[in-house]
Amino acid sequence: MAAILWVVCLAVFADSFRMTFDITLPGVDAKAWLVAPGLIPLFLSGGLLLMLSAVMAVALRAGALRALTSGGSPLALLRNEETFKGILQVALLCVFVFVLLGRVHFGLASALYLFCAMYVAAAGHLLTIGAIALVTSAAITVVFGELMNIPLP
Amino acid sequence: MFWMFLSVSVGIIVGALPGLTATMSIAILVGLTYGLSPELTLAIILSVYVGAIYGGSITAILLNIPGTASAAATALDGHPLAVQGKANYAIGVTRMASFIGTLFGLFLLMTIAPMLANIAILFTSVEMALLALFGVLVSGLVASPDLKIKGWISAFIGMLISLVGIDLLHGYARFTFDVPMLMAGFAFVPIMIGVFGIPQVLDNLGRPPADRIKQTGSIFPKLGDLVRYFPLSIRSGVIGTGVGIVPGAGEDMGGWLAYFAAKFASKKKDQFGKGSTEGVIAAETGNNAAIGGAMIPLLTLSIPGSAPAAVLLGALLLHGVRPGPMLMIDQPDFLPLFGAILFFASCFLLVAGVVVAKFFIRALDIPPKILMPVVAVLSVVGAYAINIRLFDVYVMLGFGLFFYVFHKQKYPMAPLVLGVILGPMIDENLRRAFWVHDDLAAIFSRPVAAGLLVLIMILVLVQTSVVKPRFVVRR
Repeated sequence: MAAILWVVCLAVFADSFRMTFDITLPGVDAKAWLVAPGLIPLFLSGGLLLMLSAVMAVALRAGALRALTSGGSPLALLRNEETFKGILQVALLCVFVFVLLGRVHFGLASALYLFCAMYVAAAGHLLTIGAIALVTSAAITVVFGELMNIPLP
Repeated sequence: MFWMFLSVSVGIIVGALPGLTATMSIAILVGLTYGLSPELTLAIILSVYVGAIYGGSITAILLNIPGTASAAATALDGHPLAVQGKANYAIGVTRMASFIGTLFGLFLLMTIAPMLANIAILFTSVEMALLALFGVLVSGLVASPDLKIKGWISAFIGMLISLVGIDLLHGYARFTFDVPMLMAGFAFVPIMIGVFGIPQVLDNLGRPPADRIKQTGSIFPKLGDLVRYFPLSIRSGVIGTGVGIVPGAGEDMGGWLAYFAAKFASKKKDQFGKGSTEGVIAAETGNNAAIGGAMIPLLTLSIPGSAPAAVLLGALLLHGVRPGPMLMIDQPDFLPLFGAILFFASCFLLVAGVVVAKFFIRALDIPPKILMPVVAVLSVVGAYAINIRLFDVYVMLGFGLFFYVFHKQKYPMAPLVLGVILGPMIDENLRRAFWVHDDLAAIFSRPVAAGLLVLIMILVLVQTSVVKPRFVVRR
């Protein structure tokens, strides 16, 4: 994680450097870098690069690389029921937000999501979770959408 | 008043339900109450805040699982009391302690805030920027449970996120990649809902419901007990409020420090951890007093003292209230209104606490497998309601999932949110000062600015001394 962030920060640092030292600002003649829009991002991304390097060094000393390579294959990780269910829950949330919202009526979309999420979590009998999903979704739609006049997606 | 009573009750239930935190509920509420008047929004949010901090103790006593992090110290003695058949007694005592704690924090807020505001009004741009930076750095240092540097990484990422969009000083687009939606930057409410809501949902979906201890005895504590432990309440109130003032320290640290102080000073030290009434009172007074403490820097310096206060700052900004040194001058009625709401919320806590403990306690039996998907849907509604655009919902989920990985690796989220909120203030004020004075030496020769700079350097040195030993190879 720290390694991925380090790469992102390097890109931010490079862009901030450009925004600080290679920029012309209207109304600013001397020492433009002091008021440049890239100054604070430069300081922040530079600090992040240093700190992430420290975190990676600490993790490497603690044997993070060995733990990563001996962790088994991603397929074996998926065979773990808890992990698989967790990934499925994330996928359901993504389908609800990125696919259903805006395309399907909010009440229906949320009822579908609630039912599937409770089913994957083995929250109870099919009929029970179906009823809970429908009632909850209807309640949220009516209370927020109709009574409180909050726009729903 | 009705809404406040209802909000305190809801806050107690939310705080009592393991997995639903005070911060998360306030973050979602910010979105859901957007259409209401600022006064009503403030009343609802503060009532939920007060209720939720107390509500965590009910679960700590009955299930030995703190409903909120702030109730962790309460569980140490609250649960043993419940096992001894004194569950209702413990609930009653914590309710009174929470009431006293909130009132004590409020008293100090109303006393200190105007004085601090009078001092803060003398601050210029550079001092405001350095003060905000100092607040973010202290929060990062204090809030990290693991490697201290992780708090600063969170804070720095938060500040970087806040700088995306058109720069207000020169109108320059930063990190927008020509995406029109990014020109205005990320709205902070969806980020708050995402980082506090989504990790809680994913963490708690697989958790089974815990067994609840049967409630016996009277839920009303004896007057004699309250009088006997009053000095302890005052001491814990002072500690809680003091801790609350420190940015990022929050209610949980207020509870812990008050608990340890009570244990240190007690004549019955051996009773601590086995069902000590002193322990329960100290922890609960301490964590609720931290509410008032967290509001002192929030209202006077625009620097929140705790994670829920950081979210509250977001709510205030959203409703056009700008906390800071000028608040007392621009809106002289605001502090009395704030104090009155906090006072009535703590009074309603006394009644709502009984109502919830007697009649709504079965809410604790709702399995997280049913509750958490509902929280996810409410998070979506809250994120959408602010600007009525799906992009904010995508931001909420995107940041929520991204920072879930951070949360798993023990990166604290409070400094991140503080960074998102205070980042623009640091950026604008610092660069404005540079623009006006055009001389670094002159800017930092001001006594307050120099003092703050020294304090920031000390924080850097502290951080270095914490990280350095981790590089030493143990043999």
